[in-house]
Amino acid sequence: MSEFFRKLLEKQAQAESVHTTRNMYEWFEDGFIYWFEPYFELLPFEIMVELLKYLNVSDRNAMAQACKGFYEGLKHPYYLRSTCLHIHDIEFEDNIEPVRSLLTAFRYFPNVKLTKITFGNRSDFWAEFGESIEELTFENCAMWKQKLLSILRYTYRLKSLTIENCPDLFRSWKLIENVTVMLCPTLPQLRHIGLAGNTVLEQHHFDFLVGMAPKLDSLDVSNCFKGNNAAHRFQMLGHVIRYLTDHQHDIRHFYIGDTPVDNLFLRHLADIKGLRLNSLSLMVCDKVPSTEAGIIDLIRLQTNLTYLDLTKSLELHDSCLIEICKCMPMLETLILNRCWMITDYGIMAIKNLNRLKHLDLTNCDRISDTGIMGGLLTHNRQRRLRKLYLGLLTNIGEVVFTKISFELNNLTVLDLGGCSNCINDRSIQYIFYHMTGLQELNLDCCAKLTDAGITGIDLPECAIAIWDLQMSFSVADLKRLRILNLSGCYRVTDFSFRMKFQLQELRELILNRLQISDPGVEKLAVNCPSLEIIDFSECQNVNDRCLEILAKSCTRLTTLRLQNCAEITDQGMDHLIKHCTTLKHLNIRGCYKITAEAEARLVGIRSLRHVMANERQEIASDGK
Amino acid sequence: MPCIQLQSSDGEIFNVEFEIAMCSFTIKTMMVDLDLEDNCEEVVPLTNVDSNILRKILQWANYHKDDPEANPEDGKPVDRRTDNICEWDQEFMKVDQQTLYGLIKAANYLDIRGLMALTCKTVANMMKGKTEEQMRKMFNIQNDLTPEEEQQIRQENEWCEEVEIVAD
Repeated sequence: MSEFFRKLLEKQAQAESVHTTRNMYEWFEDGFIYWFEPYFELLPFEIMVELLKYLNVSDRNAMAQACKGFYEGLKHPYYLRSTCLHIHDIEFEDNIEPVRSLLTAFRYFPNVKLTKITFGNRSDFWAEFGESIEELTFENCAMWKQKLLSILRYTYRLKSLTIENCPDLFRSWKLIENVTVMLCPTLPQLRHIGLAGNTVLEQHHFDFLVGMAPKLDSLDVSNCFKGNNAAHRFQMLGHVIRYLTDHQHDIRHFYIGDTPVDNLFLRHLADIKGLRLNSLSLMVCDKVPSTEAGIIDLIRLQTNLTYLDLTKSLELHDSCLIEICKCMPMLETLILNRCWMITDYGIMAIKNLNRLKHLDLTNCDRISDTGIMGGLLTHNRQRRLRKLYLGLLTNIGEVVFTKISFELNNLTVLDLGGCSNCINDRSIQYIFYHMTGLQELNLDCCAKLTDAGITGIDLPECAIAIWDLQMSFSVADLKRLRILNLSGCYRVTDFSFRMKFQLQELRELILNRLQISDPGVEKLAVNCPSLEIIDFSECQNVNDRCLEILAKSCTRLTTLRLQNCAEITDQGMDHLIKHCTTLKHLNIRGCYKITAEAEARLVGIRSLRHVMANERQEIASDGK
Repeated sequence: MPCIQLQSSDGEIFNVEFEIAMCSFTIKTMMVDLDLEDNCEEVVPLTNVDSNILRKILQWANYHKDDPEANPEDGKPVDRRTDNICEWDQEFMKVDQQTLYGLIKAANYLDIRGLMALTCKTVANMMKGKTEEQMRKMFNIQNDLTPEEEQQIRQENEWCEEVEIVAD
């Protein structure tokens, strides 16, 4: 090796040793050997960003806590946008946690959600971070008009504003105010206003809010005009129609689900000729007249729809659905949850919608094998479909279901809650084999399932048996699974949890009414390290030992529901208090062996925000 | 078959088939820019890649030379799956942390997209479900955060949630 090269290397080594002492060049036999330890914290920024792409939020957060470099990567706008700052169950006060520490945050928050917050005095949070907020949601917040306006003054880059279930805000918001000067902020970029669930919404509230947004194109007034008296509802619906008529060329998304609307309203909506919606939610519960049916005209007009939600449309007939499938070829999301009148004849028409990504047929219980075969599994089958909800469809048989798992194998979400007929040990095996991309699986009350089906061990016959080749599968094949609901599958026991629950990404596990006990929990906690939400409600065998294991092994646990777990005592609570650092929600209602003293001690869990405990007062008063 | 000579940081020279070297966009761009496509005499020095890593990379490139070329701009949704690693790659990635680290850096430097994805997926798979302490231990990461900073980040993380599971 030339002298020059050696010198060069030495120089390089020197230069690098400035950064880290863990690198060195050593002379060994006849050349330099480059020794180094991997130092992942010094990876270039672009590699950090690339690496984070493959992780979920919880993993990303944990990674950011490991070293500075990863935290810098996390601050990439893409990752900031895909997380949501969700503050709940606290008082929003600058000198109280968590707002105090958030004020000094190193990152900014494009997406903020406030749930069950009471507001204190003026907070610097909005002046500090308001500029970066793009989406803001208030949910069940006790607030008033001035507070809202003082917040919105800082958030001039807001794109989406949602105020859900905040009755106090609108109740205290009078048309004529005592204050003489009331600045109305203009939010030039605001495109979406959501007011779902505000039953006391008045015309002047509505006018004020939409008046702030000159560029509004999306309006959500779902579940707003439901409980009111008919006159008020009529008035408000008329008001909304007038607004839509005035802005017919701007509005693209309109949601008025869960509101009983009559044919007249639908007629009015269909008469706004300039309205070309991309998204629509609606509840058709008035009897559709044979002539001049508003819904049919509306369907014929709205040919650009990509999103259509008709949840609880009890009067939606096959003819309407056939019209939808004919007129809306662009449709990607179709939600027919609880549309009881839809039959096989209507559902077969969805074979024309070949862009469909999300289909919800929950509780349409007239649909049977024929409809599913004709609609989903014909020659041009729904290859783009990603989310499929078939909950409570008891008329689907095993054979058709097996075909679904085979043909629609790209699904990421599959809901079969209550489909007790089509799911048994054999058909579940085909899910495990074909649908390896599943992220969410709901098998609520599929009581035919046993350990053999879940684990693939000791099956009477293997899922695939050709000549001497025999294969069986297990839940561990669904490597991407993040949410699993096995409530009420009472024949699934510890054996499954011991053998096959190796799901690295599993985040939420719902196991109501199962026979799980400590040997199962032990393996579960070790093999599913990402668990955040666990529901053991009504699991009779869950005891203090289980809680000890969970508290020690599940380092990310945020929600634990233990309703009616009679075995749990104060000792279990003490394990939680001692080891849990992340627990936020705890439900111990109906665990009668837990004493009031132990409940009081739970404040020792610093992160705990919400406890559903026994109602002591009631018991005491009954006792007296 | 025309060849190109690549020199690793520790001076070893590799004779590499043209087609295989082209998996690296860095080398490809350089070749096109310098119009070197017929000239095989020149030795290309790769000062950031040592011979062990380069040997591994060439082994990978040789196996994957017939793969269809992935075009990142064709509007496909971002591939966030980490479970779609083929068996050969899984076997290939059974290396120590040092090699893994070298491979990531080299894949980035040489701009080999397939290898970049593979290495990142492998690291991501190892990180999933780990606590920060386990991650540090596993990857020999030095904690360069002050306790105050760590506390701050923990506080922020406690309230940062996932928006929604995105179907891809």
